[in-house]
Amino acid sequence: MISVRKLIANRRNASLSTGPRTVGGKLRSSHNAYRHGLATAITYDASAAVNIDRLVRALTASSNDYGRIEKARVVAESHFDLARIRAAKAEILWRIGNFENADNDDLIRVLNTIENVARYERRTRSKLRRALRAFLDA
Amino acid sequence: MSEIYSREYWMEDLEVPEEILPFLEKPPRLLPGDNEHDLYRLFELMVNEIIPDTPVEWLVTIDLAWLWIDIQRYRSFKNAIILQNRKSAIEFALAATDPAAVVGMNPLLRGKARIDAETLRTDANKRNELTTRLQAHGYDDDALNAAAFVQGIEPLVAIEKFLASARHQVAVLLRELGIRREFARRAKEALDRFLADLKSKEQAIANTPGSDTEAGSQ
Repeated sequence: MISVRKLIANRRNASLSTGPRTVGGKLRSSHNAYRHGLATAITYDASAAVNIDRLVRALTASSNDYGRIEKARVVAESHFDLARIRAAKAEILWRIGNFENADNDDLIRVLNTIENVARYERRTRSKLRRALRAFLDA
Repeated sequence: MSEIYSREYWMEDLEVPEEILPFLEKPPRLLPGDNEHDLYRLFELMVNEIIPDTPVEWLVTIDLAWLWIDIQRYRSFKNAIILQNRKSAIEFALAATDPAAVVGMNPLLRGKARIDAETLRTDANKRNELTTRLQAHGYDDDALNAAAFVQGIEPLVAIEKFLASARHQVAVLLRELGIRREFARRAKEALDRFLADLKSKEQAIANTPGSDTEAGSQ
């Protein structure tokens, strides 16, 4: 059991460090856990969202069938997601520079990072395959 | 004619639908050994070969092209891993067979082995001497390759997994595209046959004497 004085001091000290308070600080700390951004839904990307809407309209030929529109949306989102994943993979490979001169440890590190990204790709591809089949069979 | 690989080029010369352009317009991140024109040329060839005619087919075509690029990149990566491991296998063999080596291996020998490996690669005069030394200890080409593969087994297995996955995706997409195309072709043929049949029946009815009255009475 700690003393009352110590308890008060602990509470006072804790109140001094309760995280960022300014808008800028909150914005910065919101990116603390950011790694590659692939876990975020593609629709949060404003420019991708506009392109997705256009692609959905093209896929459904401006149909009013809600079910068909939803399936087309999954297909379109998955394709833009794949484009984002491809860009992330290229970025990782680009960082290593010339493959021939790369150190073995660097190659292994890059492979591990690609494996992390490949997880998202596998997930997106299986979602796309299901959605595409449902969309074409509808 | 519009500037090659520009927005106008894709839209006018290759008739890429506007909705598909975001996948082509943004220049891809080029890796060492990549060439922007080669990448776009691949898209061009794919489009000319597959001749996509629906937005879905366009999406699949672009995905296929990217998968092929991925496969190409993984291959280069795999070669780099093999080269790297072969280099260190040769260094290890040279250090192990160094006449100055007494017991175990020390950092100085490692450094010398690295220089020897470079000499083996670049100096044609000294190559024979070093190769003979390696062969005398049983390090021929096969042994060095085997050592390189054993050393790099972990990254090689990983890269093989990526390659296999990309190839599998290509196969799945091609099969899907083939099935749909085949289905579309068969559906169109069936519809054409049905329409031709309908037309010939109508003509036969029209040519039958008194068909108007028969049709009217029915």
